Amino acid sequence: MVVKRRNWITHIILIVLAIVILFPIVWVVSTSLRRDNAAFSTKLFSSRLSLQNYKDLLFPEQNVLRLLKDIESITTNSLPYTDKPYDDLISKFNSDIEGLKKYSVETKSLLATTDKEYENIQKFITDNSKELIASLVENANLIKEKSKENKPDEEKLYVALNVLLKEGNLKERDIDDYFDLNKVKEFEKKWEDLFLNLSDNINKKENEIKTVENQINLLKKDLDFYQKEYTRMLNVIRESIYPQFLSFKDTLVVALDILKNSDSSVKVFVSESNEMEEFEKTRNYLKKLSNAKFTDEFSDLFEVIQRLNNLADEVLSVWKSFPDKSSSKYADFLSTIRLFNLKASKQLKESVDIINNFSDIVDNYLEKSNLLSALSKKLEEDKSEFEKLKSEYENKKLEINDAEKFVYSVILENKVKSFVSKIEKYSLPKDIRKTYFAIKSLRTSLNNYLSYIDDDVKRKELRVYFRNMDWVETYMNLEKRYETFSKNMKAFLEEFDKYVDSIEGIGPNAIRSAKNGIKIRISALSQLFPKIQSDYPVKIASNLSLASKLAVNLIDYLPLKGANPSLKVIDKKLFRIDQIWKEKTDHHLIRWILNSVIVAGLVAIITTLVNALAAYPFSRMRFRGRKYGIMSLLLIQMFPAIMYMVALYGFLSFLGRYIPFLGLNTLGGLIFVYLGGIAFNMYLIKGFYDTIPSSLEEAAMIDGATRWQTFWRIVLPLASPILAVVIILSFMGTFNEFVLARIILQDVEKYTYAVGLWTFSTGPFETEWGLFSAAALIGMAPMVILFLSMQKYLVGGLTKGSVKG
Amino acid sequence: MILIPPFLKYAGGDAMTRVWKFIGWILLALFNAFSIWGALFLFQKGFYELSITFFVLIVLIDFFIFNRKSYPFRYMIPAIILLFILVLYPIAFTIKTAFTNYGTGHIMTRQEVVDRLLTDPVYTYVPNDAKEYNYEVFVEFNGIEPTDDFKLIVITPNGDKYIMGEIKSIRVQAGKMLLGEANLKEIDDYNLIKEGDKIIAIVDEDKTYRYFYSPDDIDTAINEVFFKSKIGFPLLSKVEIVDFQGNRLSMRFSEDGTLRLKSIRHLYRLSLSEVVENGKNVVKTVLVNDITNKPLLEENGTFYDFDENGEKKPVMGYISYVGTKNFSQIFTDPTISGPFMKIFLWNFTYAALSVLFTFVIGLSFALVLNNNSLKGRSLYRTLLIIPWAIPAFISVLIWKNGFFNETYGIINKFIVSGLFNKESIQWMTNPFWAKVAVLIVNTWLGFPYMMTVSLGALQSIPDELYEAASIDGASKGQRFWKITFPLLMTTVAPLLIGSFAFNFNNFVNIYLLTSGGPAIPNTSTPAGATDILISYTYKLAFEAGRGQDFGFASAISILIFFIVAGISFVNFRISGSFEEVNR
Repeated sequence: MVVKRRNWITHIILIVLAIVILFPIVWVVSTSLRRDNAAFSTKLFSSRLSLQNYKDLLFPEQNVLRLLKDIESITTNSLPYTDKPYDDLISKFNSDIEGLKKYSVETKSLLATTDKEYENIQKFITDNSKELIASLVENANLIKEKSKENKPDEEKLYVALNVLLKEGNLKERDIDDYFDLNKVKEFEKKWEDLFLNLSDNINKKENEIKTVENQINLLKKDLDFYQKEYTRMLNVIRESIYPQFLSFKDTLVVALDILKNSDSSVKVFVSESNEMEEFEKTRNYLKKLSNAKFTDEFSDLFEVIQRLNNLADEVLSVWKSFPDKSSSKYADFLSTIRLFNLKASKQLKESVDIINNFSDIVDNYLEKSNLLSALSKKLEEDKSEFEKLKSEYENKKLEINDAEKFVYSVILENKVKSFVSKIEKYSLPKDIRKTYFAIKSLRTSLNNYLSYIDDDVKRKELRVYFRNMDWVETYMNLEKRYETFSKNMKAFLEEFDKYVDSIEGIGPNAIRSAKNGIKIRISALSQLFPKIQSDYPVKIASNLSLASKLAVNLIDYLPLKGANPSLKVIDKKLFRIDQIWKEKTDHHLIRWILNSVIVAGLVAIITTLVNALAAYPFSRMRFRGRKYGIMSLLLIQMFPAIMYMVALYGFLSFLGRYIPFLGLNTLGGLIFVYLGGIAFNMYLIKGFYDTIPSSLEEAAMIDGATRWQTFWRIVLPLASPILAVVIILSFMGTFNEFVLARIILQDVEKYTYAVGLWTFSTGPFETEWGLFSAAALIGMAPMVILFLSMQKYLVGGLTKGSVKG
Repeated sequence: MILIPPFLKYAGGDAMTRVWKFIGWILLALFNAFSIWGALFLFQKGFYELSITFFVLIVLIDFFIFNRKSYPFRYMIPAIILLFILVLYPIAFTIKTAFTNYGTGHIMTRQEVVDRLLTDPVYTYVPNDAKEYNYEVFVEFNGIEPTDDFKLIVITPNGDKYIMGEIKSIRVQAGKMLLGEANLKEIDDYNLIKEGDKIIAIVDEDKTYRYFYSPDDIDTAINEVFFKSKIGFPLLSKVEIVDFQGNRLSMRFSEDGTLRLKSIRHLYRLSLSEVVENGKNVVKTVLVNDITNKPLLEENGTFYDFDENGEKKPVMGYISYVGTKNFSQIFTDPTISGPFMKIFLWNFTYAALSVLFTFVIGLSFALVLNNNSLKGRSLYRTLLIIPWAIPAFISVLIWKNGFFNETYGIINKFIVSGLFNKESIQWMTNPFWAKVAVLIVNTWLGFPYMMTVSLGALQSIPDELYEAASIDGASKGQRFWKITFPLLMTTVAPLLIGSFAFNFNNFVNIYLLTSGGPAIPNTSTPAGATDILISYTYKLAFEAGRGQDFGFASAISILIFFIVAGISFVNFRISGSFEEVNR
């Protein structure tokens, strides 16, 4: 029948989709039960399951370190034991010591078990040595079979051998046994024809490129220097020389002006002076300057210099032709010139040097940069030529690729042969190290061969055969790790017992002394702490966890399954030992859940009662503001409630000063803030009231009941189903609230479950998936069960009232 | 005549009721007394808005109780109390804040800031012509141990000696004295024990203070550390000693590391100045820098001082009204408007796509499950509803931690690189993929709701319609588009809009999954690529990384309110919720 068949398909699709959609839940459940570190595991699921995460969260075990801390508190009579009488302290102390001894005994018996199982494994390996080696041989032979290649023609083969030898990939002794070295020599000529020239050229080009690159680097350094000098000089000229020249120009203009234009008939005595000779000298510098080379950037400077030159010429000519050499005019002129000489002669001389220097630098700079561009061009050419040669070489090599592959396959084949003949003599586990090194040497040959294989499938296949031999390495490491662990742990336990004895002896005295006000830290105790906190993780736990991991890996790798039960036992017992000894962080999950339940419960009950009251007049009475009351209630809900916190934060911190349980960082304050969300479910309750026939109330009123009595005695009991639903809805809503709780609560112990779980997903716990998922599941399960079991009622309320949040 | 409240007058007759009414009456009186006291107390402490809220509440409640006509409102009194304090007051506060610059750097009122600038020891300086006073410290000993109970003798440059009187606290913060003041007293008022000219002890009441330390007395150098750490620095450096001329002296560290008593001056003083404001000359109190004699500039709610080079330096900010700046900067400030528009658009896209995806998937499931001949429908329904049943924050954390983590997350580890051999997807650092992640999670969370709703709507469509249609020869597609979909939409459309409004403000999902990240570059506010308006607001107000800006956050939340209210208004129109109210 058609319909049936299609239903069948629908079922399959639905099931697949349901699995995909519910996968996060599956993941949470499976991860919470894993005892390996899921975040770092390469497997999605693991068979190493335990309830440890739940135990740690809900019923944390008083393991060794916790007991020791407890003993410390008892013996120093500090919190929480300050007020306990002496006898209680002694009995608690004795029970703690008892606990420590028990752990020591338990660890010893666990160790005895693992030691026995370890022996079993060794025995198993010894008993099955033949089979195990046979499996190695089989895999090696499979590699050999799979890596068989067709023999290429002789010429190609020997040319290829030559290439491999010359490139340094192979040594003569590597191929001595499998190929005729004489023949290789014979084909050397052929190789020379084909490759020698090319490879020589390539080498030459490579060297050339290197030299050019070196030259370019040197040049760049020089250019860098000139660049810096250039900018420096530029600055000097711009900032100091140019403005000086401008002022010189002005001085000369003034001098000329004095001589030419001013009209003075006062006679003065003018002594002979050599000012003008000096001036002529200065003028020569100017001449020199006007001949200097200038770049475009200095056209203005050049102009000034030209102008200065002209001016100086003019001054000289006017002076020479000046008639009255004893007028005050003449004297003024001379003193101006003197000043000019004083200022200018030295400056001009320096400027000439600087400008000459500058033009030198410019020349050098230009020269070098031209050189650089030439070299760069050459480098580019060289490089492209090099590439060409290289590709030519590669192409040629491509022709002998098969031959090279064949060479490596022959080498591999022979390596396998020698490997097989070697390990067939071995007996495990005695020769495990030798076996391991034999496998390791096989790996190099295999990898060389694999680099020539393009076929992914084949490559994978060969890798799988090789991986089938991995168990040798794993087993070898397990041996090493387990033996170190077992030895260290035994020594550690022996020492631990001594310490415990010492603590036990001194403890009661310390307690008595502490009770009398003199607190002694028991030295054995204070020495034992660092032993367990640092020695244990460094010397023991590291080996332990590795041994445990290797044991699990061995289950997968070992070709024979007989040892698996023993390996599993070892893994399990080692995990238990670690739980006893390692330092564990304290969690507050129970406290958080309790906080959440208190807060959500109170909020749900109070808001529901307030709502039930407030909804009544909206359903039964007619009054002004009824419509707007509901509308404004609906409107208020739309304001983003997070912003309330800005106002309420200050108010709460103020309130906390006078009413401590309502302040910030208190559950009371949080409850208070949550009560603001009352408007949410009123509509729902009002809707239900509407369905209760008012004839019931009318009858009661006729009998003399007041409005309040009809509400309290009749309407409210009738509405109890919807009230229950509303209580659950607001309980769930409050339980899920995160933001306000995060702002208000600061202490870890005061967190609600939502904030607490959030801390499990950040910071150092981000990768502690086991704890996180267990904590998530603990909070999630009751909620899901509640929701699903009350689906019928809740869904109606949720779809009618508000959307889930 | 005694005023009897109306509810007593008309009450029924028996004695028990009278007793109850009487108790109620007393409770009301107590409530009123307590609330008025509380309101006054709040007003005194500076919670003006809250105090007004209280007063309004008292008046309203009394009105409800005394006015017979407002009987229905008596049922709402508890709700109204909670609503006023926890909802209306915060809303009013938010609206007020939206027009101020309240936030980091602008925490105190102007008056508080002025007060602080005038008195805080931080804002004092030692003038160049400062006189240095010598001093001698006398300490009471507990056995051989010196205590921090001390007397101080101040020696003026002329050699006159005075004793420091009691310290009065002037400014206290959190129980710690910030600034104290003490007067000088004549030395003769005390009982002194002298050794020659030197005073070696002071006897006051039944305590003896022995000579302990003086900065220039080498014999007492051994006591210097104790004096500095127990008396000088923690206490005396915060005390100003006023001498008879009105000079203020205080302990300051000198270059050689000893505490010296120097005359100090406050950096700022009050003065009156004429300012032109709105075209009128107004006399205003201004703060003046005592060194430069220049008045402080007030701009944008901040006091600015000028240093020697005439450069403006902010001193302290206060809360001030900035008008509509918080709103207008959304459009005018390019470092805000760019990211804001991005957030705004993404907010709409996010809400719309969430509704679209959840509805399409939910409806598809509903159509499949609506088939009566399908066995185990309720089991499938229950299974598919589970994502809805799990508290949302738990699911989001699971997705974030286990699935979208870039290095360890199982999507990257097992699907992207494991199955398809691709490079890891940057779920948290690439804006596009972060958005995809947010949408995936939101769809997963939301489709069961849509499925349930659609299923309910589908079941209410009468079968006769389909029968009639199939008799008329309508195809399956026609039946869906012509009958199912229109009928479905009439019931589901309001819920879709409601869901849009909900997702528009779906803060928890965004915040827990990506925290709004990755950050948008080149902005002055903490905007992120997956931020929606509400998470952006939250970051502005509560994540102090770049400083809080309550003013701007309030402005945005008002904006959000109008958007959501607008959407909901449309929704009410469509669903006719108001008619229901009027029933």
